[in-house]
Amino acid sequence: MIVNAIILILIGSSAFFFGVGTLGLIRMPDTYTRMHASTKCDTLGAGLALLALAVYSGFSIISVKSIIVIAFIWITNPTAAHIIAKAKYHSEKKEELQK
Amino acid sequence: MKNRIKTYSYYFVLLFLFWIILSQQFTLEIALIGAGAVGLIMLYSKSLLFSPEETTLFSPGKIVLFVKFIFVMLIEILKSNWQVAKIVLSPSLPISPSFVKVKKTFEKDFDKVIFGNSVTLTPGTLTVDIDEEGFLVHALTKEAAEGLEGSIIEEFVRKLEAE
Repeated sequence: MIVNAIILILIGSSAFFFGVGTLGLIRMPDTYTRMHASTKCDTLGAGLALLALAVYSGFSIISVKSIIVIAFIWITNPTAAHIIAKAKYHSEKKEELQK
Repeated sequence: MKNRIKTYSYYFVLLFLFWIILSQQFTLEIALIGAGAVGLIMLYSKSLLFSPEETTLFSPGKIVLFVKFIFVMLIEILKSNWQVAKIVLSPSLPISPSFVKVKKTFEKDFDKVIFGNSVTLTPGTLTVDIDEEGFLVHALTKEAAEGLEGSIIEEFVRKLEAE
């Protein structure tokens, strides 16, 4: 019962952060600010969803696995965000030089 | 030579544990196959492995500090995620995006990666470029830009870097 409530809260807030991330992606004006909205809220959204999975499966190997997946997402997500922002920054610099 | 043995044994234990978790059981066959696979992986990616000079995570004290850092980061991520959510949901969209040059540099590439990724992971700030002088960070709001100076992340990475 209490476990179910915890899972419900985790899934609910995960959906909330995913929703906010998507809304931010639509509302923000340029690439960088869009990166802020989408990647950050995805981090917490995916993290909370996987945490709910870990709680649901109890203390087992599956919960350890989902925590490992969280760790990998949290390493790769900022790296990808950084690369996209860097590509944008350098292409802008190049355009300025060509003018 | 001694360092290389240390590196290999460190990675062997790490990858072998990962293999055991993925295979969900522990029998002789699985252990043997795992040891073989881990050996082959390390042979293939020899040049990618960190040596003790490149990373700071080889001593137990540093690992404990790193785990503490992860918990501090979790709280930071929760707090600032909430702030970004509020900004996105407010009708007027109160953002003032700007580039900030953070003139801080760390000796090891590994620490630079930890700092850059932590800054990107905390919402409101995004590492755009890294050069010899420091980090170019894009901040979503003024508060986020000001918060970069003397942040808790920097403190921890400095501690990690210290011998």
